[in-house]
Amino acid sequence: MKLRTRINQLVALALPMALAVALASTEAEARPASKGIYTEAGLGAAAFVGKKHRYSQIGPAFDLRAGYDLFSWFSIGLHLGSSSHEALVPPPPQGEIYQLYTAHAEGRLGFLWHNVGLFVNGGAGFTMISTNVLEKVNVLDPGEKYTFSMTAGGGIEYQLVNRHHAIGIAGRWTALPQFAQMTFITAGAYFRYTY
Amino acid sequence: MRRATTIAVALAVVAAAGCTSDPRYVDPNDPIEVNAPGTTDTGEATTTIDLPIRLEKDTERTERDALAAELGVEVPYVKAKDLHIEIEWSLENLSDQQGEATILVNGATEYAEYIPSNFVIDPERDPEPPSLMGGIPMILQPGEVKTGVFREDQVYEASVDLELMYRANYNPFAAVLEINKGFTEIIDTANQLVPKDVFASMVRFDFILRGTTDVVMKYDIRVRDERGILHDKLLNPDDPGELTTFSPVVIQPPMMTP
Repeated sequence: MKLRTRINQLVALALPMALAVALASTEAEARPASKGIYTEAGLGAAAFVGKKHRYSQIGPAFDLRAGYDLFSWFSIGLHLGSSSHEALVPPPPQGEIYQLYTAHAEGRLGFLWHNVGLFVNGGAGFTMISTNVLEKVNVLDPGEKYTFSMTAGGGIEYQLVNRHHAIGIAGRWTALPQFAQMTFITAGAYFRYTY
Repeated sequence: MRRATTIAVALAVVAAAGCTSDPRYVDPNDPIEVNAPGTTDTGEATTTIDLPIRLEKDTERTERDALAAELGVEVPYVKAKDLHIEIEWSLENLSDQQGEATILVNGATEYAEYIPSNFVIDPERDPEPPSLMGGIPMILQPGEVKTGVFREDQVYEASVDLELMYRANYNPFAAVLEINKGFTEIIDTANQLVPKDVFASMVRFDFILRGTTDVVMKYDIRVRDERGILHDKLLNPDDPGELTTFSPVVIQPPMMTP
Protein backbone atom coordinates (compact mmCIF):
# COMPACT_ATOMS: atom_id res chain seq x y z
CA MET A 1 0.00 0.00 0.00
CA LYS A 2 2.80 2.29 0.91
CA LEU A 3 4.67 1.38 -2.26
CA ARG A 4 1.61 2.05 -4.40
CA THR A 5 1.21 5.49 -2.85
CA ARG A 6 4.85 6.27 -3.64
CA ILE A 7 4.39 5.22 -7.29
CA ASN A 8 1.30 7.38 -7.61
CA GLN A 9 3.24 10.33 -6.24
CA LEU A 10 6.09 9.75 -8.72
CA VAL A 11 3.69 9.51 -11.65
CA ALA A 12 1.92 12.62 -10.54
CA LEU A 13 5.26 14.43 -10.51
CA ALA A 14 6.68 12.96 -13.72
CA LEU A 15 3.69 13.54 -15.99
CA PRO A 16 3.62 17.33 -15.71
CA MET A 17 7.40 17.40 -16.10
CA ALA A 18 7.27 15.27 -19.28
CA LEU A 19 4.49 17.43 -20.63
CA ALA A 20 6.47 20.57 -19.88
CA VAL A 21 9.53 19.18 -21.68
CA ALA A 22 7.42 18.19 -24.71
CA LEU A 23 5.78 21.59 -24.88
CA ALA A 24 9.10 23.30 -24.53
CA SER A 25 10.57 21.33 -27.41
CA THR A 26 7.65 21.98 -29.79
CA GLU A 27 7.85 25.64 -29.06
CA ALA A 28 11.57 25.74 -29.88
CA GLU A 29 12.23 28.27 -32.60
CA ALA A 30 13.47 27.22 -36.00
CA ARG A 31 17.09 27.94 -36.73
CA PRO A 32 17.38 31.48 -38.12
CA ALA A 33 17.06 31.49 -41.89
CA SER A 34 17.19 34.36 -44.33
CA LYS A 35 14.11 35.26 -46.29
CA GLY A 36 14.03 37.09 -49.59
CA ILE A 37 15.74 36.52 -52.91
CA TYR A 38 17.24 33.06 -53.24
CA THR A 39 19.34 31.11 -55.71
CA GLU A 40 19.79 27.39 -55.78
CA ALA A 41 21.98 24.92 -57.67
CA GLY A 42 21.42 21.19 -57.74
CA LEU A 43 22.94 18.08 -59.18
CA GLY A 44 21.32 14.69 -59.57
CA ALA A 45 20.06 12.10 -61.98
CA ALA A 46 17.03 11.90 -64.23
CA ALA A 47 15.33 8.73 -65.39
CA PHE A 48 12.34 8.22 -67.63
CA VAL A 49 9.31 6.32 -66.44
CA GLY A 50 6.28 5.02 -68.24
CA LYS A 51 5.86 3.55 -71.69
CA LYS A 52 8.63 5.52 -73.36
CA HIS A 53 11.30 4.95 -70.74
CA ARG A 54 13.03 2.29 -72.81
CA TYR A 55 14.17 4.82 -75.40
CA SER A 56 16.34 6.85 -73.00
CA GLN A 57 19.05 5.96 -70.56
CA ILE A 58 19.22 7.47 -67.08
CA GLY A 59 21.45 10.55 -67.12
CA PRO A 60 22.90 13.40 -65.09
CA ALA A 61 20.70 16.37 -64.29
CA PHE A 62 21.61 19.93 -63.38
CA ASP A 63 19.23 22.52 -61.92
CA LEU A 64 19.34 26.22 -61.24
CA ARG A 65 16.68 28.13 -59.38
CA ALA A 66 16.17 31.75 -58.50
CA GLY A 67 13.21 33.42 -56.91
CA TYR A 68 11.75 35.25 -53.98
CA ASP A 69 10.37 34.16 -50.62
CA LEU A 70 7.02 35.90 -50.35
CA PHE A 71 6.63 34.43 -46.87
CA SER A 72 8.87 32.21 -44.79
CA TRP A 73 6.72 29.30 -45.97
CA PHE A 74 6.00 30.21 -49.60
CA SER A 75 8.26 31.17 -52.50
CA ILE A 76 7.92 31.77 -56.20
CA GLY A 77 10.70 31.51 -58.72
CA LEU A 78 12.16 30.38 -61.99
CA HIS A 79 13.63 26.94 -62.46
CA LEU A 80 16.06 26.11 -65.26
CA GLY A 81 17.05 22.50 -65.62
CA SER A 82 18.95 20.29 -67.99
CA SER A 83 19.62 16.61 -68.26
CA SER A 84 21.58 14.42 -70.66
CA HIS A 85 20.47 11.02 -71.87
CA GLU A 86 21.70 8.36 -74.21
CA ALA A 87 19.07 7.57 -76.83
CA LEU A 88 18.27 3.86 -76.91
CA VAL A 89 16.68 3.73 -80.36
CA PRO A 90 17.12 0.84 -82.78
CA PRO A 91 20.46 1.43 -84.55
CA PRO A 92 21.46 3.39 -86.43
CA PRO A 93 22.11 5.71 -84.68
CA GLN A 94 23.81 4.15 -81.72
CA GLY A 95 25.25 5.70 -78.57
CA GLU A 96 23.91 9.16 -79.33
CA ILE A 97 23.30 11.63 -76.51
CA TYR A 98 20.58 14.24 -76.30
CA GLN A 99 19.73 16.93 -73.79
CA LEU A 100 16.51 18.24 -72.32
CA TYR A 101 16.34 21.88 -71.24
CA THR A 102 13.45 22.98 -69.06
CA ALA A 103 12.31 26.43 -67.95
CA HIS A 104 9.53 26.50 -65.38
CA ALA A 105 7.78 29.08 -63.26
CA GLU A 106 7.53 27.47 -59.84
CA GLY A 107 5.89 27.76 -56.46
CA ARG A 108 7.31 26.25 -53.27
CA LEU A 109 5.53 25.56 -50.01
CA GLY A 110 7.71 24.65 -47.04
CA PHE A 111 8.12 24.63 -43.30
CA LEU A 112 11.22 24.69 -41.15
CA TRP A 113 11.18 22.82 -37.86
CA HIS A 114 14.33 23.35 -35.83
CA ASN A 115 16.94 23.08 -38.53
CA VAL A 116 15.11 20.66 -40.81
CA GLY A 117 12.56 21.69 -43.39
CA LEU A 118 10.11 19.91 -45.59
CA PHE A 119 8.81 21.33 -48.83
CA VAL A 120 6.73 20.59 -51.89
CA ASN A 121 6.99 22.46 -55.13
CA GLY A 122 5.38 22.52 -58.53
CA GLY A 123 5.41 24.49 -61.72
CA ALA A 124 4.84 24.70 -65.41
CA GLY A 125 6.69 25.98 -68.42
CA PHE A 126 8.29 24.48 -71.46
CA THR A 127 10.96 21.95 -72.32
CA MET A 128 13.27 21.82 -75.31
CA ILE A 129 14.97 18.72 -76.67
CA SER A 130 18.34 19.22 -78.30
CA THR A 131 18.05 16.74 -81.17
CA ASN A 132 15.42 14.86 -83.12
CA VAL A 133 16.92 11.45 -82.38
CA LEU A 134 13.67 10.26 -80.75
CA GLU A 135 11.74 10.97 -83.95
CA LYS A 136 12.80 7.51 -85.04
CA VAL A 137 10.63 5.95 -82.35
CA ASN A 138 7.74 8.39 -82.83
CA VAL A 139 8.29 10.23 -79.58
CA LEU A 140 8.74 13.41 -81.61
CA ASP A 141 6.88 14.59 -84.68
CA PRO A 142 8.88 15.98 -87.60
CA GLY A 143 10.32 19.35 -86.64
CA GLU A 144 9.09 19.12 -83.05
CA LYS A 145 11.48 20.58 -80.53
CA TYR A 146 9.44 22.15 -77.72
CA THR A 147 6.71 20.97 -75.41
CA PHE A 148 4.65 22.41 -72.64
CA SER A 149 5.78 20.74 -69.44
CA MET A 150 4.79 20.58 -65.82
CA THR A 151 6.52 19.40 -62.72
CA ALA A 152 5.80 18.49 -59.11
CA GLY A 153 8.08 17.37 -56.35
CA GLY A 154 9.33 17.79 -52.85
CA GLY A 155 12.25 17.29 -50.54
CA ILE A 156 14.00 17.74 -47.24
CA GLU A 157 16.12 20.75 -46.46
CA TYR A 158 18.72 21.29 -43.76
CA GLN A 159 19.30 24.87 -42.63
CA LEU A 160 22.97 25.43 -41.91
CA VAL A 161 24.19 27.60 -39.05
CA ASN A 162 24.83 30.41 -41.48
CA ARG A 163 21.36 31.89 -41.99
CA HIS A 164 21.94 32.27 -45.75
CA HIS A 165 22.86 28.67 -46.47
CA ALA A 166 20.80 25.52 -46.76
CA ILE A 167 21.35 22.13 -48.33
CA GLY A 168 18.88 19.45 -49.20
CA ILE A 169 17.76 16.51 -51.22
CA ALA A 170 14.83 16.72 -53.59
CA GLY A 171 12.91 14.76 -56.14
CA ARG A 172 10.45 15.74 -58.81
CA TRP A 173 8.27 14.32 -61.52
CA THR A 174 8.06 16.07 -64.88
CA ALA A 175 5.59 15.45 -67.68
CA LEU A 176 6.19 16.32 -71.33
CA PRO A 177 2.72 15.98 -72.88
CA GLN A 178 3.65 16.87 -76.47
CA PHE A 179 6.59 14.45 -76.53
CA ALA A 180 4.29 11.41 -76.67
CA GLN A 181 3.40 11.85 -72.98
CA MET A 182 6.95 11.16 -71.83
CA THR A 183 7.56 11.56 -68.12
CA PHE A 184 10.72 11.51 -66.07
CA ILE A 185 11.74 11.69 -62.46
CA THR A 186 14.72 13.55 -61.11
CA ALA A 187 16.44 13.11 -57.77
CA GLY A 188 19.43 14.93 -56.40
CA ALA A 189 21.05 17.19 -53.88
CA TYR A 190 21.14 20.96 -53.87
CA PHE A 191 22.63 24.00 -52.23
CA ARG A 192 20.47 27.04 -51.61
CA TYR A 193 21.58 30.56 -50.89
CA THR A 194 19.09 33.10 -49.60
CA TYR A 195 20.24 36.69 -49.64
CA MET B 1 24.79 43.93 -57.76
CA ARG B 2 26.18 40.64 -56.54
CA ARG B 3 22.70 39.12 -56.71
CA ALA B 4 22.18 40.23 -60.27
CA THR B 5 25.60 38.92 -61.31
CA THR B 6 24.95 35.51 -59.78
CA ILE B 7 21.59 35.18 -61.51
CA ALA B 8 23.00 36.38 -64.83
CA VAL B 9 25.86 33.90 -64.71
CA ALA B 10 23.49 31.05 -63.87
CA LEU B 11 21.21 31.92 -66.79
CA ALA B 12 24.15 32.30 -69.16
CA VAL B 13 25.48 28.83 -68.31
CA VAL B 14 22.17 27.19 -69.16
CA ALA B 15 21.67 29.32 -72.27
CA ALA B 16 25.15 28.50 -73.57
CA ALA B 17 24.53 24.80 -73.11
CA GLY B 18 21.49 25.04 -75.33
CA CYS B 19 23.05 27.07 -78.11
CA THR B 20 25.70 24.72 -79.42
CA SER B 21 25.11 23.15 -82.82
CA ASP B 22 23.23 20.09 -81.76
CA PRO B 23 23.03 17.22 -84.24
CA ARG B 24 19.94 16.44 -86.27
CA TYR B 25 19.26 13.02 -87.69
CA VAL B 26 18.11 12.68 -91.28
CA ASP B 27 16.56 9.24 -91.32
CA PRO B 28 14.89 8.26 -94.60
CA ASN B 29 13.70 4.98 -93.07
CA ASP B 30 14.74 3.39 -96.33
CA PRO B 31 16.66 0.17 -95.70
CA ILE B 32 18.20 -1.58 -98.70
CA GLU B 33 18.51 -5.33 -98.99
CA VAL B 34 20.39 -7.72 -101.25
CA ASN B 35 19.69 -11.39 -101.96
CA ALA B 36 16.30 -11.25 -100.29
CA PRO B 37 14.45 -14.59 -100.52
CA GLY B 38 12.35 -14.80 -103.66
CA THR B 39 14.33 -12.16 -105.53
CA THR B 40 16.95 -12.54 -108.23
CA ASP B 41 19.06 -9.46 -107.71
CA THR B 42 22.74 -9.35 -108.52
CA GLY B 43 23.86 -9.02 -104.96
CA GLU B 44 23.94 -5.25 -105.29
CA ALA B 45 21.41 -2.62 -104.25
CA THR B 46 21.56 1.16 -104.38
CA THR B 47 19.77 4.11 -102.87
CA THR B 48 20.22 7.88 -102.92
CA ILE B 49 19.37 10.56 -100.41
CA ASP B 50 19.48 14.34 -100.82
CA LEU B 51 19.97 16.39 -97.70
CA PRO B 52 16.83 18.44 -96.95
CA ILE B 53 18.23 21.94 -97.46
CA ARG B 54 15.81 24.84 -97.08
CA LEU B 55 15.51 27.49 -99.77
CA GLU B 56 18.17 30.16 -99.84
CA LYS B 57 17.16 33.57 -98.48
CA ASP B 58 17.62 36.66 -100.62
CA THR B 59 20.10 38.13 -98.16
CA GLU B 60 22.15 34.93 -98.25
CA ARG B 61 22.13 34.97 -102.02
CA THR B 62 23.25 38.59 -102.10
CA GLU B 63 26.12 37.93 -99.70
CA ARG B 64 27.15 34.87 -101.66
CA ASP B 65 27.17 36.75 -104.96
CA ALA B 66 29.25 39.51 -103.41
CA LEU B 67 31.77 37.00 -102.09
CA ALA B 68 31.92 35.24 -105.46
CA ALA B 69 32.63 38.56 -107.18
CA GLU B 70 35.32 39.34 -104.65
CA LEU B 71 37.07 35.97 -104.93
CA GLY B 72 36.44 35.41 -108.61
CA VAL B 73 35.30 31.83 -108.02
CA GLU B 74 31.99 30.03 -107.57
CA VAL B 75 30.74 30.24 -103.99
CA PRO B 76 28.31 27.49 -103.05
CA TYR B 77 25.13 27.90 -101.03
CA VAL B 78 26.01 24.87 -98.89
CA LYS B 79 29.62 25.11 -97.83
CA ALA B 80 31.63 22.33 -96.23
CA LYS B 81 32.06 24.44 -93.11
CA ASP B 82 28.28 24.84 -92.76
CA LEU B 83 27.47 21.18 -92.17
CA HIS B 84 29.33 18.59 -90.12
CA ILE B 85 28.01 15.35 -91.51
CA GLU B 86 28.31 11.82 -90.20
CA ILE B 87 26.75 8.71 -91.71
CA GLU B 88 25.68 5.97 -89.32
CA TRP B 89 24.88 2.53 -90.64
CA SER B 90 24.00 -0.99 -89.63
CA LEU B 91 24.27 -4.25 -91.53
CA GLU B 92 22.33 -7.37 -90.64
CA ASN B 93 22.89 -10.78 -92.12
CA LEU B 94 19.39 -12.25 -92.35
CA SER B 95 20.53 -15.60 -93.71
CA ASP B 96 21.71 -18.67 -91.85
CA GLN B 97 25.03 -18.64 -93.65
CA GLN B 98 28.17 -16.58 -93.22
CA GLY B 99 28.35 -13.80 -95.78
CA GLU B 100 30.35 -10.84 -96.91
CA ALA B 101 29.02 -7.32 -97.35
CA THR B 102 30.48 -4.05 -98.57
CA ILE B 103 29.14 -0.51 -98.33
CA LEU B 104 30.25 2.08 -100.88
CA VAL B 105 29.31 5.75 -100.59
CA ASN B 106 29.50 8.32 -103.35
CA GLY B 107 27.45 11.42 -104.02
CA ALA B 108 27.50 15.04 -105.00
CA THR B 109 28.05 18.60 -103.97
CA GLU B 110 25.71 21.20 -105.41
CA TYR B 111 28.15 21.48 -108.32
CA ALA B 112 29.36 18.02 -109.16
CA GLU B 113 28.39 14.38 -108.83
CA TYR B 114 30.86 11.51 -108.78
CA ILE B 115 29.94 8.15 -110.26
CA PRO B 116 33.03 5.89 -110.33
CA SER B 117 31.65 3.55 -112.98
CA ASN B 118 31.62 6.46 -115.46
CA PHE B 119 35.40 6.25 -115.53
CA VAL B 120 35.38 2.71 -116.83
CA ILE B 121 35.50 3.21 -120.59
CA ASP B 122 36.96 -0.20 -121.39
CA PRO B 123 35.95 -2.75 -118.75
CA GLU B 124 38.90 -4.96 -119.66
CA ARG B 125 41.48 -2.24 -119.21
CA ASP B 126 40.09 0.38 -116.87
CA PRO B 127 39.84 -0.36 -113.18
CA GLU B 128 36.95 1.36 -111.48
CA PRO B 129 38.13 4.29 -109.36
CA PRO B 130 37.53 3.97 -105.64
CA SER B 131 34.40 5.24 -103.94
CA LEU B 132 34.54 8.39 -101.87
CA MET B 133 33.91 6.35 -98.72
CA GLY B 134 33.63 2.71 -97.77
CA GLY B 135 34.64 -0.20 -99.95
CA ILE B 136 35.95 -2.43 -97.18
CA PRO B 137 34.39 -5.94 -97.21
CA MET B 138 33.04 -7.17 -93.90
CA ILE B 139 32.36 -10.74 -92.81
CA LEU B 140 28.95 -11.27 -91.25
CA GLN B 141 28.07 -14.38 -89.28
CA PRO B 142 24.50 -15.73 -89.59
CA GLY B 143 22.15 -13.28 -87.90
CA GLU B 144 24.97 -10.91 -87.00
CA VAL B 145 24.39 -7.14 -86.84
CA LYS B 146 27.31 -4.80 -87.42
CA THR B 147 27.16 -1.04 -86.88
CA GLY B 148 29.54 1.72 -87.84
CA VAL B 149 29.97 5.31 -88.94
CA PHE B 150 31.57 7.38 -91.61
CA ARG B 151 32.91 10.12 -89.41
CA GLU B 152 32.61 13.87 -89.91
CA ASP B 153 36.23 14.12 -91.06
CA GLN B 154 35.70 11.33 -93.60
CA VAL B 155 32.67 13.09 -95.09
CA TYR B 156 34.60 16.37 -95.13
CA GLU B 157 37.44 14.59 -96.92
CA ALA B 158 34.92 13.30 -99.48
CA SER B 159 33.65 16.88 -100.04
CA VAL B 160 37.21 18.12 -100.62
CA ASP B 161 37.85 15.22 -103.02
CA LEU B 162 34.78 16.21 -105.02
CA GLU B 163 35.93 19.82 -105.10
CA LEU B 164 39.36 18.74 -106.35
CA MET B 165 37.77 16.70 -109.14
CA TYR B 166 35.35 19.47 -110.10
CA ARG B 167 37.40 22.64 -109.66
CA ALA B 168 40.93 21.40 -110.28
CA ASN B 169 40.34 18.45 -112.63
CA TYR B 170 41.99 16.00 -110.27
CA ASN B 171 42.10 12.39 -111.36
CA PRO B 172 39.64 10.51 -109.10
CA PHE B 173 42.33 8.06 -108.05
CA ALA B 174 44.52 10.91 -106.85
CA ALA B 175 41.64 12.77 -105.27
CA VAL B 176 40.23 9.80 -103.35
CA LEU B 177 43.36 7.87 -102.42
CA GLU B 178 45.27 10.85 -101.05
CA ILE B 179 44.36 12.65 -97.83
CA ASN B 180 43.27 16.14 -98.79
CA LYS B 181 41.25 17.35 -95.83
CA GLY B 182 44.13 19.55 -94.68
CA PHE B 183 44.00 21.68 -97.83
CA THR B 184 43.52 25.34 -97.02
CA GLU B 185 42.96 26.27 -100.65
CA ILE B 186 42.61 24.86 -104.14
CA ILE B 187 43.93 26.41 -107.33
CA ASP B 188 41.18 25.88 -109.88
CA THR B 189 41.51 25.36 -113.63
CA ALA B 190 41.28 29.11 -114.22
CA ASN B 191 44.26 29.57 -111.88
CA GLN B 192 42.05 31.19 -109.22
CA LEU B 193 42.55 30.54 -105.55
CA VAL B 194 39.59 28.84 -103.86
CA PRO B 195 39.89 29.18 -100.07
CA LYS B 196 38.63 26.30 -97.96
CA ASP B 197 35.89 28.51 -96.51
CA VAL B 198 34.08 28.24 -99.82
CA PHE B 199 34.58 24.53 -100.45
CA ALA B 200 31.22 22.99 -101.28
CA SER B 201 29.66 20.40 -98.97
CA MET B 202 28.25 17.08 -100.07
CA VAL B 203 24.48 17.38 -100.32
CA ARG B 204 23.70 14.03 -101.92
CA PHE B 205 24.75 10.54 -100.93
CA ASP B 206 24.61 7.45 -103.14
CA PHE B 207 24.83 4.18 -101.25
CA ILE B 208 25.75 0.88 -102.82
CA LEU B 209 25.38 -2.32 -100.82
CA ARG B 210 27.05 -5.46 -102.09
CA GLY B 211 26.51 -8.76 -100.34
CA THR B 212 26.90 -12.48 -100.83
CA THR B 213 23.98 -13.43 -98.58
CA ASP B 214 20.65 -11.87 -97.58
CA VAL B 215 21.90 -8.62 -96.03
CA VAL B 216 19.95 -5.51 -95.09
CA MET B 217 21.52 -2.10 -94.56
CA LYS B 218 19.94 0.73 -92.56
CA TYR B 219 21.43 4.18 -92.30
CA ASP B 220 20.86 7.71 -91.15
CA ILE B 221 22.75 10.93 -91.63
CA ARG B 222 23.73 12.94 -88.57
CA VAL B 223 24.23 16.62 -89.31
CA ARG B 224 25.50 19.41 -87.11
CA ASP B 225 24.09 22.40 -88.89
CA GLU B 226 26.14 25.53 -88.16
CA ARG B 227 24.01 27.90 -90.26
CA GLY B 228 20.53 26.52 -89.80
CA ILE B 229 20.12 25.58 -93.45
CA LEU B 230 18.49 22.20 -92.93
CA HIS B 231 14.71 22.35 -93.27
CA ASP B 232 12.95 22.41 -89.90
CA LYS B 233 10.99 19.29 -90.80
CA LEU B 234 13.89 17.64 -92.60
CA LEU B 235 12.52 15.10 -95.08
CA ASN B 236 8.89 15.89 -94.23
CA PRO B 237 8.28 19.50 -95.34
CA ASP B 238 4.70 20.67 -95.70
CA ASP B 239 5.48 21.42 -99.34
CA PRO B 240 8.31 19.72 -101.28
CA GLY B 241 8.96 23.09 -102.90
CA GLU B 242 10.37 24.28 -99.59
CA LEU B 243 13.47 22.19 -100.26
CA THR B 244 16.34 23.23 -102.49
CA THR B 245 16.82 21.07 -105.56
CA PHE B 246 20.39 20.92 -106.79
CA SER B 247 21.42 19.90 -110.28
CA PRO B 248 25.05 18.92 -110.10
CA VAL B 249 26.93 17.99 -113.26
CA VAL B 250 28.23 14.46 -113.45
CA ILE B 251 32.01 14.42 -113.50
CA GLN B 252 33.20 12.74 -116.69
CA PRO B 253 36.59 11.35 -117.71
CA PRO B 254 37.29 13.99 -120.39
CA MET B 255 37.42 16.58 -117.66
CA MET B 256 40.46 14.89 -116.16
CA THR B 257 44.00 16.07 -116.70
CA PRO B 258 46.19 13.41 -118.33
